[in-house]
Amino acid sequence: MAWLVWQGTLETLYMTLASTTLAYIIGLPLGIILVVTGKEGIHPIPALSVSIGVIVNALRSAPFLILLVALMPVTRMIVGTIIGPTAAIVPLTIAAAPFIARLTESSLKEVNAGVVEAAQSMGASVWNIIIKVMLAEAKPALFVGAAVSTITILGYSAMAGFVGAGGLGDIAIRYGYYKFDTQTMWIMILIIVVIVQILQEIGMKIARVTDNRISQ
Amino acid sequence: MGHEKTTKKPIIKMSGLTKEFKTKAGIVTALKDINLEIEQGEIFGIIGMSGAGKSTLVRCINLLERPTQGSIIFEDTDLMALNNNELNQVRRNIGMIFQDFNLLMQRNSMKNICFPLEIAGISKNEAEARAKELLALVELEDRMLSYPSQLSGGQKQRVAIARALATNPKVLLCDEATSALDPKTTRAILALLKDIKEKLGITIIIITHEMSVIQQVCDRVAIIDEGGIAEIGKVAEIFTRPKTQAAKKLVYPDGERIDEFLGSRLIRIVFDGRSSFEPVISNMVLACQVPVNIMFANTQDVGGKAVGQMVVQLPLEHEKAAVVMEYLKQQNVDFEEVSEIE
Repeated sequence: MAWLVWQGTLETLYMTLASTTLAYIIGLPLGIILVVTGKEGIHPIPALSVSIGVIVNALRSAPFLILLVALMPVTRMIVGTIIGPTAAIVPLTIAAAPFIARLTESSLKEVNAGVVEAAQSMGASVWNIIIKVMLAEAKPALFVGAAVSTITILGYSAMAGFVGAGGLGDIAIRYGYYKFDTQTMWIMILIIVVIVQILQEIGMKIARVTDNRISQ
Repeated sequence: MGHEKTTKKPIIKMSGLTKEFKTKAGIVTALKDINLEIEQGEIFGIIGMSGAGKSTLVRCINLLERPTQGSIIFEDTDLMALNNNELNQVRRNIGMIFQDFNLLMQRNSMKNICFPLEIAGISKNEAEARAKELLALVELEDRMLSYPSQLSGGQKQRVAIARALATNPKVLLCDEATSALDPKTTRAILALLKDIKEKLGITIIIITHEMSVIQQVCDRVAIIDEGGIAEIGKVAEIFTRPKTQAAKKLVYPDGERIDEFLGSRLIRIVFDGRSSFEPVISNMVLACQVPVNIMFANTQDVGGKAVGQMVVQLPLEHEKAAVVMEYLKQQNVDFEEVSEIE
């Protein structure tokens, strides 16, 4: 049992963290492009922001469980199998990237437009404004967003248990749903809840410590 | 070379500036055919009611808003002809401060001032040394490591001024820079701007809706109304003799209307700073031996000089009134008859 829990926890953390990292590599730049090239952005390219917006919306409207099944051929092509935690990373990343793009977009949009204007008046380039103004000023919101994303992906990873992804969700479904072993199921759920709590706390703590708007 | 110029060359020249915004309700003209020359080293005020177009106008100077038509020449450069990179270079010569300060909330005072230097590619050590100089100039050395959230409004504007001056600009644009501040802080910030102009020889353009701001620091003023320049001239001039409706509205915000005194013989005496040091009215009464009635008076301090106007009711008899007016003419006091109804 202890070994099962340990194995499941490691798999869950592996799936969650790897998918979150990959989803950020895709989603963060997309979120930045959505803000920068939007109609009111600092470098408007409406055609680009609208196309990205459509793709993001399309991916976000597909329920994750459907996406999981629909993406199986892609997963097999990339990973070589559709079973196990590594295989689950593919649909998790593809499902989470658009979510992260929107989350990043809304965090960056909260940066005071006047501050961006001030930077422009000083002769800051678009690149300078993205790095030194938008991302730097939105840092606390971005950390809170990262905690939310990681937790959402953790939830998705449990769902991926239905198609044999491994991890705590997989164990809970196998024991609880197929073997009627509710006790094991509840233990798995409890561990997931604890992991969620820890991730949320870490995210909020980082956001708080790095936010200079709060008088220290 | 050879030719001597009688007038100073303008540092900024706007010609035929028009700005239109496309909205759902159709095209809105924010500015129409603005022609304006700002002279090197002056403090130029642009005043207007809200919605008059003054904020759009100041944003056209550094192309934060691109005019639909017209040209902006800064020194010898036609800004409209520049590409983004070149424009960013020129913008380092035109500092700007704002009503809401617009400081980077995640950077302390020192790092805020370093920001324009960082993006200009200046080394960290050099930037920090410059930032310290500027903090001294705005008298905030002790708040070097404070974050904006820990500063008062006046202190934030001081940091913003220091930041705007970091790259040694030739022009400083102030967009309603004192509108979010209380009257005392406003006076301190205006005094600082005046001081900076004296020390650095910088040209300052002040956008405001408050006549008192113009009075305190500006040399010349343009009154913007419905997207156009209604009146332009020396502050004392416009303050004492507003010609247009828009100017009168700003000079007499409470709507003092001389028309109210209609019904007897009135003259309006204008004080231009010279005559207000002597007791003009008392001398006049003593010299002419004629009683007068002061109906309205408004004199204020403009740039260290007392200027204003007074409406005086004269006796209805022509001979006595003529004596008074003759006396005023002799004394070189500026006046005009407001109305004469028998």
